[in-house]
Amino acid sequence: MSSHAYRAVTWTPAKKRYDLVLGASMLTYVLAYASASLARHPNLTAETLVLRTSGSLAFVMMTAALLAGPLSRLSPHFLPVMRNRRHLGVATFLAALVHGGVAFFQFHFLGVLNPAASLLLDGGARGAGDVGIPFQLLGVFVLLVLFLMAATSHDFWLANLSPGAWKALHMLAYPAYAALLGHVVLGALQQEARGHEWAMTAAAGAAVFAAHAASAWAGRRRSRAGPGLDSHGFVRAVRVADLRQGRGHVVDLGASRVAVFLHGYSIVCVSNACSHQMGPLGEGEIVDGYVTCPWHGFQFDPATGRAPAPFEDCIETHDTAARDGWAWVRARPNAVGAPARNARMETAARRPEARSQPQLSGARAARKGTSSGGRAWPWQTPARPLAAAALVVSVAIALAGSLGRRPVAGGFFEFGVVRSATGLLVADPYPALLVPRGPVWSRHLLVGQGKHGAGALVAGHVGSWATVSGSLAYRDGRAMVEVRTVAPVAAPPVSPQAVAEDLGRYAAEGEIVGAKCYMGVMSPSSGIVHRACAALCIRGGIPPLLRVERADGQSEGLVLADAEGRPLNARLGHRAGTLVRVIGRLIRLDATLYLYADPSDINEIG
Amino acid sequence: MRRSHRRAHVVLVCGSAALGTFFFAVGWSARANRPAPQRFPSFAEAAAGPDWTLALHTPQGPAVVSYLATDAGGRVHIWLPRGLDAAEPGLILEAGGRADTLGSVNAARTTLPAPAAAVRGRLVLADLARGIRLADAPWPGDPP
Repeated sequence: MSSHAYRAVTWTPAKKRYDLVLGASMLTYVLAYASASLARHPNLTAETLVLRTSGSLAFVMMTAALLAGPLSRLSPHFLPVMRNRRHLGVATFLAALVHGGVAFFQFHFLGVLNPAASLLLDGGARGAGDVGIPFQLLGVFVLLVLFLMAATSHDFWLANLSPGAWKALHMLAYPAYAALLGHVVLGALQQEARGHEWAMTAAAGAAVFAAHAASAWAGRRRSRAGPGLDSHGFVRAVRVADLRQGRGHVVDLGASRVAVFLHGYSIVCVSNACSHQMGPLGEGEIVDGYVTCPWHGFQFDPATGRAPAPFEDCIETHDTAARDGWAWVRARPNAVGAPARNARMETAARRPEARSQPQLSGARAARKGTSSGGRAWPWQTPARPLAAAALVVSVAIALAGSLGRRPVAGGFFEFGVVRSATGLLVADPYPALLVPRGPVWSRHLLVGQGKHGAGALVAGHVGSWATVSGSLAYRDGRAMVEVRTVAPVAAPPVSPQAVAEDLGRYAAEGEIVGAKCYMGVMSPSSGIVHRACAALCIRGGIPPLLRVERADGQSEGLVLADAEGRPLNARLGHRAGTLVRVIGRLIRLDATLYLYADPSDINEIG
Repeated sequence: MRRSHRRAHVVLVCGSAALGTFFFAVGWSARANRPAPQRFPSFAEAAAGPDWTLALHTPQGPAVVSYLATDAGGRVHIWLPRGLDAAEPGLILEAGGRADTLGSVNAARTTLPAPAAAVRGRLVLADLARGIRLADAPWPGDPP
């Protein structure tokens, strides 16, 4: 238990530099990804841009956070990343929160289902992805773990949960990262992703595992204690000749690891696990007479294991002895805080001196992360090359991730712009407004706000003339209206001739999508990531479309109705986002193509 | 870090790596096995038979027919690609590789209603033996 009061964040110059580099890297990534995406995919809607940018950013940042630990053990050059990794973790959570929050609202709110139920049931679609694994729930798990880690990242929780429990909680990062891989490959990569995005994702996962494996392999080179105990409970640890003045040497005692140091004329031994975050003390140094953790600069008196005042942290010490050119350590640790009995050497000064800082003030500085001047420790050195590399890597990953995706087709939604038109309201089978354009009708499908159809808005007015106001979404020369108001008006004396042409038996394969998003409210408006939204839209009364590919590579939306020309919302909501083969009759109503098919003739393929 | 923590660490890292690999393999398999939707011209068999083929040639080279459907009478309805002038000299539509049987769009120009240079045109193969008739119809999706 520490004696000092807790603050939300104790800002230090080192932390400010760290956060400056972190923030600049995030901003650089966001700008590069967003601008490159817009340049290549101008049809992307704003929420899709936010989703892609924040989602990919969170993935990159979580990968970096998991790489920081093993890389810092392999090379001290990465220690600056490790030192304030919790800031990186909290920032990762924030990026993931933006991604998850926007996705939750965009895909699951404003529909006929409770948003939480929609999230669990994939909008009432089949309840799972193409492979039976609900990718969104994997993302929810990741976000929950990131939240737990971010919420408990403060030293207050570290102290009150105990380092062991805290560490166990934070090791959930590994299954969370596996779930994140599943979330990405079963979701976003299932559509519009090219091979190189799969390769980048695989490389990220492989790098995390390989770095941990390499770190563990490198750690195996540390000394193993000799077999058995002597009559005094000591075990042979390391050759004295292998000890360097002030530098740690990790020895594996079996049940635990200890850090052995040559400190002046003494051989000292402490637990290898820092009381702060279980950092590897044996990979640190003795600075100002204190064993100093390489991760965060926490310091401990090698004689007693106590932290310098006013801190009250303490680690275990072990008695040491020197015999036959070997350093021996007692397997059983001393009582907490009790002074250790250490072996003294006669000619220890032959080794390089340990680093030093102004006594105590330096210790406090290290403890609080504030260098007070003089020589800086390796983990306090401003890592300009690392900062520059972070910016360059941010841009490179952002460009590679955004430019390689397949083009997205879509329409345009006049969000916030209200227009009005007067015409004949019909519902054959879905609400539409027929606006006279010379001798013919211009047919506009009508939908309601959110994920609702316009049935309730036009009820009582079907077959009558009305002025409809709302926002337009248009694609391929067709326009749809998101209705705000319907005001009945008198019918004009002359009306165009309605056109209804039976183009005959027709078979087509395509994906069932909702008309509203397809026409431009969202882009992309299809695929597994959009399935929940499409399912809610169709269940809410928005016309279902069969999105088919034309020979020129563009898509076409055929309005689906049953064989008698009645709505199919209730029959197709759960099949949204699936590929189907439909056999029916192609009907042209004015300039809009409808496919009338019996539900038994709508069958999933693949 | 004590041995129990180290073991937990190893189990978590290796287990997570296995789980991530599993997810990746499943995702990749799903992507590779996903059927690609067929495109419109593949549905001409109802009227034309399984060995019936359709090809459109322009002076600039081959082009694809944008949209094709059959009606109740067995007629094949064809929409030309957007932006292609049906009155353009040298535009030839082949069916079954027999351009001489079907003739060409040029030969059908006399049947075009004014304005003949409509960019959007729907060809109706009323009778495969006699040739092509060009009807006046909008391209699907276009407002009147």
